[in-house]
Amino acid sequence: MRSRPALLTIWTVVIIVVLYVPILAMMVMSFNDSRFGTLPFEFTLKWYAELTPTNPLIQATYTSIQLSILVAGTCVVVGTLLSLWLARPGTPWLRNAVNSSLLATVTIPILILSVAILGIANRLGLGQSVTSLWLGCTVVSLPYVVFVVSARIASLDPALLNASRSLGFGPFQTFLRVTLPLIRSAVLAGALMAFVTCFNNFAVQLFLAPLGVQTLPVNIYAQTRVGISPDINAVSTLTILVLIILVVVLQILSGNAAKVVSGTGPSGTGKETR
Amino acid sequence: MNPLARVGRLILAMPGIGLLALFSIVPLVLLVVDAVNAPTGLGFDQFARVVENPQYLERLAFTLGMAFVVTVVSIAISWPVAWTIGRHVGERNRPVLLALVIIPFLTSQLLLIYAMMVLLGAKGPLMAPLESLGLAAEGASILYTPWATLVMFVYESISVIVIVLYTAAERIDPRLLAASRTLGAGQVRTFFTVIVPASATQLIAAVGITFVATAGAFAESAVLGGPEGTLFGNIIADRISGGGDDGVTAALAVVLLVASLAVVVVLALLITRVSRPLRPLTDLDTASAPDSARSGRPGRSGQPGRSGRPGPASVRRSRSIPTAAEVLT
Repeated sequence: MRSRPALLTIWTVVIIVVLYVPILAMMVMSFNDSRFGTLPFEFTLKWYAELTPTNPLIQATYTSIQLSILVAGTCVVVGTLLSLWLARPGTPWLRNAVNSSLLATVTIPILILSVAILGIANRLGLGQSVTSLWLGCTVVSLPYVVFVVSARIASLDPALLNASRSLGFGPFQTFLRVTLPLIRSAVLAGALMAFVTCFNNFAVQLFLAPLGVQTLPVNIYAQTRVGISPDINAVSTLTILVLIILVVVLQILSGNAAKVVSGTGPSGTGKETR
Repeated sequence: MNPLARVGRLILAMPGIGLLALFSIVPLVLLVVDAVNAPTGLGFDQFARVVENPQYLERLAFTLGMAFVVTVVSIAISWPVAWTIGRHVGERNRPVLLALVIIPFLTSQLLLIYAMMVLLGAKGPLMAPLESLGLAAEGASILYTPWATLVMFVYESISVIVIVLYTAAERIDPRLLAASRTLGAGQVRTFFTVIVPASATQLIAAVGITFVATAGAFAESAVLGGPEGTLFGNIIADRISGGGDDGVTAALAVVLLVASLAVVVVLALLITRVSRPLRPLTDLDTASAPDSARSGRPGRSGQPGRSGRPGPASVRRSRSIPTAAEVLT
């Protein structure tokens, strides 16, 4: 049993390597001279030199970063408060309804959810605007924050909170001095998760962004309809590198980002709280 | 507990609850309302317009077929990986491998689609070497065909499926596998009578996530699929981009959602049916149950049935593997 079957091992290694092939290919091609993404390979840095502040790709990247920070900030505050309420007993029907909504939000195809959100935005008179973009992206990223933070709150030792209470702290003091320090890394992981999911949230941005506001994925999407442009390689290479670093940090912070993202739902973070 | 604190917590949670209600649940309900609420009055007029359009139907069938193939192929590719990580990798390396699997998934979806476009391009990093080896025609590529979309979907699905099935693989009691082997089941039989039933929940989850996500996708086909590869999602997306946010678009979205959920339910029922062996005793096995239950344990020290040529006796016994499983769990 313990011995590792050679065939399975080889298969696993091959598949994991294959997962990185497109990314690596794009990174290599970002240093290639050809305008049409063709070989033979000739080294150049000119595509990186094109990434000046006036390049639409760079402006779109700024837009994406701004949007993601705004959304991550909103998600962390709203999501942490929601998780704190979810962790306590009482009003089970509302709690179940909220949990179901969170699951529905991550399960329903993002295209259909975007169509639905655009519908409500039009009804509310928001239409395609920065406000609907902000709220739409927030609601889509919110479940991930709640999953990460809830998992950590569930693993807290209730004795700590009771001790804080019996030592005279009110609920607010208890939150600030006991709960928050204990869930800090999960909250941080939630913020990162919201940032990453918002940055990647292409469909919502495509349908809700007002005219003239283009995020990076939307800009690239528009350009790909025309063909490959090598400065996209350069900007994508840099962006993916940053995203990979963020995801690694996220993985370290949350311990189980993988499970949360895959939709298998919240589960213990596997780390002791003390 | 302090009721005031409870109310306070609820009030603080209200922004989250309100946001979910107003921007997720209410919109989805309104989508259904829009779909049945035609300008001509309540009814299924708008659905009729969808269903009576042969082009829509043809694309729907194509989309569901694509999603099905993607689901099957991705699971076939990912399951051995999940199994290996869950059962043949030490505790220490496991998180590292899982992180390696999930990282590509978390980097921007659209950047990955673009990366695939670069990879698959004619005379690009993949095709140029193949050409020089004589394995591909000059300037050939699957880019801008439905095959490229298929490859992209499978590529995207692997990460999630591995993570989901890994939890199943990790949980299977090794004694079940040992029992299955001892009772004379070959690898194929063990797979269908022990591994599939024990993984049914996660398998259904993997099928559901992959199928629904694929059926509802549009960016992959828009960038990679070419004119032949238009998916149902593209029809919806194009209508919205063209300003057609109307009842018919809502009806299209509802049709897509209902159709993909229906397929997932059918697949889930199928998996449940195949998984029946591990369920509680059926009348089929009642007669032989006590016998095989006893033979389960001593059998382990007996001759291993791994050689794959089970005698008649062990064939009869292997029918009651579920019974042995019951005893062990």
